[in-house]
Amino acid sequence: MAAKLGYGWGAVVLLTGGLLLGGGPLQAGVGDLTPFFGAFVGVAEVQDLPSGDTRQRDMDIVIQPYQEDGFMIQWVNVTLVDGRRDLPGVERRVQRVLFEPAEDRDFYVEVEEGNPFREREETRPMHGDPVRWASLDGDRLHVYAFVVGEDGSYELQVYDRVLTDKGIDIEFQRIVDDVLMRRIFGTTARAE
Amino acid sequence: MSWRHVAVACLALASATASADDPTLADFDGAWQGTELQISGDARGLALEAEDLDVQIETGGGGFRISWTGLARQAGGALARHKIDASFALTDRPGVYAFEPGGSSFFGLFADPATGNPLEGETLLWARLAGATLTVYSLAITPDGGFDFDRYARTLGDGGMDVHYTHRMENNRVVTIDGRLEAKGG
Repeated sequence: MAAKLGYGWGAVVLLTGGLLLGGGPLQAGVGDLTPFFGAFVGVAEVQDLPSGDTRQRDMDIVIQPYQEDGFMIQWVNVTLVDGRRDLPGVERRVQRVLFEPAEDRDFYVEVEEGNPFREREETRPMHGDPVRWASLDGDRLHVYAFVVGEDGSYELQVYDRVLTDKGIDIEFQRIVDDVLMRRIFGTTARAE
Repeated sequence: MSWRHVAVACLALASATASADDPTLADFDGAWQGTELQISGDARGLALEAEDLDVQIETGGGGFRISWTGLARQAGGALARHKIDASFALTDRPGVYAFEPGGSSFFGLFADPATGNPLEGETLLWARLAGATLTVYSLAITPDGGFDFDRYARTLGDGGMDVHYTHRMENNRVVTIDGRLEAKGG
């Protein structure tokens, strides 16, 4: 199920585009994202629960403002082979996602890059469209992705970035019809 | 084309793909009363009785109408009982049922399946029949970007139904309810 989530963030940006029609002032309560802005470098452990496999990855994350009140997250994941990145089989994935404040609500919705009118077709979850949003909760930036699968089951991805003294920590969960499939914990330092 | 029309068109397909041993939607029909209930997780003082699991299911036309008690968040974060009455019609996908606005006394609370979008404040509601389990799902995004997600699974067996209900919220807060239903008057 949930093939739509399998494309990865970069592709989903292209698939789903932005929700909002027209501009508007920043809505109160979405918060000050400034502490999250910057470049961060770190490592993460990826736990695949069904198989019991654990893998290490290097992370390179950039969070920066987008348009007037939104933000962009771009990251490079390098999944290591035997703890090394110079061996055959190493994987490198670049992803990018953009958010702007939702109209009349205190959270952010994903938008399509390069669309000055922020227009897109209506999100239709029952037709498989991913529902993607983000919210700021103190020192924690939540990014959510939810999809109704072809068979009616669901997939929920929760990607938290948590401010720390040295950078941001990463916490990720992928849940498929109430079964925790993948968990990622990572730590980063703010790059000079 | 309405969801009910789709349901009629796809009924034959759904029947053809189901295993002969699997229960059908009609097997869920009736009034069911809760006889056992256990709560776990971050319930924060929530008190429920077995009768809170009571459910009424009416099947017909390829879909069903269901009345049950779920959980809803109150101001301050506490969870409380929340009675729901909703109708579902089969979609063009076997075993997948979409909320049917015209068939519910709660018209307007949930999203129209043709256009419904939780990002705009509507509750997305749908259902799934897989094997002996009929599951009803709902997703609502709160105004501050949190969420309330329900997965309410009822599984036929041993002359009754097993219940497994999860209410999932932001910051990994989850409440789980397990229980048992028996046919009223059975």
